[in-house]
Amino acid sequence: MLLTLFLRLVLLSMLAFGGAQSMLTEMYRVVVNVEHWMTAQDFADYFAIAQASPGPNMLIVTLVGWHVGQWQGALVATVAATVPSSILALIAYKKIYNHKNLNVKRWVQYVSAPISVGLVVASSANIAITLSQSWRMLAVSAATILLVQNTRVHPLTLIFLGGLLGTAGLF
Amino acid sequence: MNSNGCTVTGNQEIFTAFAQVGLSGFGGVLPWVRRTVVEQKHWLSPAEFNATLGLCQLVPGPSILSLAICVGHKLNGWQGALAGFSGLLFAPLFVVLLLAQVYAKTIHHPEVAGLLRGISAVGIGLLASTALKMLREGLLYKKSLWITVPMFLALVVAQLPLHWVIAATLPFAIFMAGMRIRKEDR
Repeated sequence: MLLTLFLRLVLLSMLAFGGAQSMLTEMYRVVVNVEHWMTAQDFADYFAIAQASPGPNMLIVTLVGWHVGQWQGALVATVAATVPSSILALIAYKKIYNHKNLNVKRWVQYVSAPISVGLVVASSANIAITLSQSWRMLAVSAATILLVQNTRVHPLTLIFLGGLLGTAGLF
Repeated sequence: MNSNGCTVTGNQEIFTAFAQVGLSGFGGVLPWVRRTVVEQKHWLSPAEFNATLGLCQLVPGPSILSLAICVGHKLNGWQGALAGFSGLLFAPLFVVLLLAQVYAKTIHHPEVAGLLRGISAVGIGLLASTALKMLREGLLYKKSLWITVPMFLALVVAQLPLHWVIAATLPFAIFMAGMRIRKEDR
């Protein structure tokens, strides 16, 4: 099972153009619908824990690994999702960033930018569809978008307020 | 001074800087990386930072980790890359696993379930905000909407599998990029 977890996550991270955010929906599909490693509620809970933790957004991968195989699973999942793609990034950085020929850089940017934007936007929409359990949750998500776009409020403040509303039994 | 014209920076300094970034960022660490790397340490100029970030977002995988690796590599070769990577990842890793232990012991309380649903709702909003920001700033040229919008429809409305959508989009994206580059060069 750890090998399956490793291979699944390597593959997933290699398709994650635009960053960890575009992995989320596909990861949900794999771990909940295909491999049946956890329920939809488990995934939603881990998403919340990862959001409430400091650090990169990809930490949900570590939690998925922990659920599947405790400490070993967490290690395997984290390595799978980060190491191969990081090596790829380093190679790209050395080859493309320092490339004398500006044309190469332009080609890479123009091909990948629309794809990464498409993946991130689609994944965010899908994760909202998948994880929202009530119109009240959607209303809080919408309020979060408005506040982030129009004020300088700190994300941690919003997470704290959301948690407060949830503990009070709003959802 | 090394070959890139920067003062040589120790691995330990790179590790510590990225560990602090990792522990201070909630709902995404990018603004904190920028503040540390560009404004405080002056490891990268603003233009360099944008170019490197752009590249890291184009390569698949968690882009913020790729960024830490590229910055580390620029400062101190592969050792610096390793220092940036582990600095950004290790401390948050322990925090999140600690929270998972607490979660496993307390999830049967209805308050904890509610708490997580509240955080989820805000988290979904934070993700959507990032997506909107990318949509505003990341498209590079107007006609790339011809790529992005059909992708959105295929993935969200039709719920087609990710790898097929990428495989189908790639040739079209290359074609559109070629058109754009030819137009710029004329």
